[in-house]
Amino acid sequence: MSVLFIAVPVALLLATIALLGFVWSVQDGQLDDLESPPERILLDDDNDVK
Amino acid sequence: MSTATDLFDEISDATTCVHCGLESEVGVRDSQEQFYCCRGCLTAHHLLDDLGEEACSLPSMSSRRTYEEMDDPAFAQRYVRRLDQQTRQVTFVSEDFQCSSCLAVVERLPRFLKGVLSARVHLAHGTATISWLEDVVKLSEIARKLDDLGFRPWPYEMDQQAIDARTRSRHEMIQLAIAGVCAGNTMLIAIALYAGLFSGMEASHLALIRYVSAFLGLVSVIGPGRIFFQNAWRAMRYRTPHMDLPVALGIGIGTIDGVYRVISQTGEVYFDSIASLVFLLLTGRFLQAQQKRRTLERVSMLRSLTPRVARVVHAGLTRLVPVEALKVGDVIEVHPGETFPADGQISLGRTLVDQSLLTGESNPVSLGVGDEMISGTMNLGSVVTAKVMLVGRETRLGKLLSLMDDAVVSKSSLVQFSDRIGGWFVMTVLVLAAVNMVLWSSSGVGRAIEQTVALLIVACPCALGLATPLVMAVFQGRAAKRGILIKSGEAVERLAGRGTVWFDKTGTVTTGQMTLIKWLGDEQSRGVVLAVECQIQHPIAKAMVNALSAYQDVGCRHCVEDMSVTQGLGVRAVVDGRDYEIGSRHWMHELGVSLPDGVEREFMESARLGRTSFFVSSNREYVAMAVLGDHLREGTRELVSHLEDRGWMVGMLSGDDGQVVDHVCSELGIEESMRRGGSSPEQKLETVRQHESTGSVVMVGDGVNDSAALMAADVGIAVQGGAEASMHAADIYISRGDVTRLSEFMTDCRRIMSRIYLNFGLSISYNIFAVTLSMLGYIHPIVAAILMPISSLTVLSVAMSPGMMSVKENSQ
Repeated sequence: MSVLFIAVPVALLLATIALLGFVWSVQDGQLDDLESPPERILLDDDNDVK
Repeated sequence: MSTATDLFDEISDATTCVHCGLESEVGVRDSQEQFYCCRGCLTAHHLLDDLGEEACSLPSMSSRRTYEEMDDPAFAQRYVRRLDQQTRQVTFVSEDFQCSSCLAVVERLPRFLKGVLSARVHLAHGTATISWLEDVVKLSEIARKLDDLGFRPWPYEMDQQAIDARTRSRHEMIQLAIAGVCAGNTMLIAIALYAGLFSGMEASHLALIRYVSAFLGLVSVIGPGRIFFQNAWRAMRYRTPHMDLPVALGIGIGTIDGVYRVISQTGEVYFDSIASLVFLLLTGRFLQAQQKRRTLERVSMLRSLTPRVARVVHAGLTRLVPVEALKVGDVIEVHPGETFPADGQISLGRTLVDQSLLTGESNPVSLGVGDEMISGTMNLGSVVTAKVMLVGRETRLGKLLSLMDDAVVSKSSLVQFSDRIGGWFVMTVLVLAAVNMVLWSSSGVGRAIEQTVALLIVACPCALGLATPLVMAVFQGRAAKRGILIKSGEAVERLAGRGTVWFDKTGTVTTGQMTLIKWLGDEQSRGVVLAVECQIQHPIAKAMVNALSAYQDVGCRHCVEDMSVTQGLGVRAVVDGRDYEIGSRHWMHELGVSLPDGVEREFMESARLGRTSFFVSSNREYVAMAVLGDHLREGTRELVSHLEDRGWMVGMLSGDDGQVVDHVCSELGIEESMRRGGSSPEQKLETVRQHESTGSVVMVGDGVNDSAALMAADVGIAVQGGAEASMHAADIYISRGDVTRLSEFMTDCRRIMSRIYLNFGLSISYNIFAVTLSMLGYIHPIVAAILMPISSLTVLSVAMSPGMMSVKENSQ
């Protein structure tokens, strides 16, 4: 069962990566507006719109 | 043909939007008489019909504003951001950014206008951020294009308060995430620990797991959990009981004790319970904070709607300056469609002014030389020159805005129920802990400490902290689906009780739109009137056309020639070869038309009721008389009696003339002592404040003139159809313009409150149960680990369970 000594730190590392991802998305402003993006996805792709 | 069919009249019967299928009671119609819920839908529908041909096939919705002030360097300096050498960015706010169609239209702006790089709509805030190439297109062109599409852009400036709120919201989200990660992982690890209890575990593994959970627990308590200690410390300094005191005590002692036990390898640890406590309590707190932030956003948005630039005339030249640079004594020019930037006196020109923002008066007022102009009111007629008398905060609008700021600050905040019982809770827990310590001291100090730590942890009011915010958040979500926006949870608590409700008149209990109430005299002349009036760009003319739109078939057949308008009085035209005069009584007298006695009496009567009359004469002979007026919304009478049945005092607070208010009140059955006509915004605020002593004060209104009162009232309810400003000022916003839904909503509020109390009851019984167990010595980390999620889940399921709304939710 000594695999635990590797598995637990790896699990924590994964959790940290996920947390950092979330922190990045918050600071990027992705969670500021939860209304527009779900509507925007319905728009057709349009090459003119950048 | 007649232009009558091209009118975009706001109509008032329930209809389904052709484009998005939404049921809506207000909206616009296009030239084919198709109904749309908003301008975005209309524009989108037409765009989809003939994509590629741009929006030129659309009937214009332009307000004819030039927006040239936006090209001024002073404007650019203030609102425009330089992204690089050529690229510029600006943020507009508009009340017209509402739904996905609006988003679709606005975000396609780069397609309609060369030089626009991107347009991003932020629906939650009602803003759009646009970047463009300065060399290719001017900002005023972009603004005009938006205006053409039916969106009136206002420059938006994020003030410090809004930026702070955003930073805090982001910070809290990150803290919540850290707490969540710690809670989840300690729980997972604790499962290994508890499994080891039954199947046995090697000492080295046990130590590893205990160290890891201690580490995660410490991160959680020292990181996101810090706030509890800070609050508890503050509460102790000011000697006010606070819910965070027992929390800080529980997690503090639990952590210290736990770390000691991990190092000394003795006894039990509770890090999983501690970490999930921190997470769940922070969740409740975050939900509450979001609500508060929405309230604060209101004032900030309101400021964006006040004018920002003024045209100063200096030595014969006009130049645009920011409003802040305006000085008393400056001479300014105000164009049609613009708002007056300051208070002052008109020195040249004559125009019509829409003062509904401040006075609530729906008819435009005619102003001439020497008359007072008020900042924030809109010039509808022609260019006028005026001398500035008061600027900035000194103006009436400025004062009103600062009154509103005060109102927000001084609003007697209802103490959260959990805080109210906080003191009682703290004392009980402390006493119980002491008793526990004494009881268990006979079995050794170590055991006594262990049992007391367990008690402090299980006594933490975790579910209690979640009880209100959760129910409220769920309720808000469900209400929003039905077109009711709740911006403050406190409002729901207030509406479940009783007190005084004040209604505004125009636009709230009445439709706010002119309809034809009476027509005396020649029926045939209705068509003539319609044919003439639909060619005039005057608000009253438009109202008449609206009111007479049923006769458009007749109207279209008439041939109108030789028309001349006498500003403020009436219009003269030759229709089918006959001379006609249409206008006010005053004008008829001037023209020498004699009106029959019955007609004169009718005029007096309708003037008393606040209705507008106009007369038709042909070749100086009286032909007909029309009475136009506002009428009550359907179901308002029932609403009033319903509210009274529930023990609310109902009153009317209106800027309109006392007699008019009296008339409407008697129709609604509002008592005489509760009628307040002729109230200025300041007086409205005063009335609302006076009644604060008699229970909750609710204000229902729609204009900017109501905004201060909406803010000051315990609960401000805004009804759609009115000014954007009032929507931001209110705690609750009822869209689709139906005030009668209020009674149903209040029933829901009661239901919600009983659900919140049920949740309180459940979570308190959990605490009592857990504390009893721990005093009897039955608490072990595994029991705590099972009990806590169960109590939170109970609270959650009570919050989420259906049956909260009296009417089935609209699933579109």
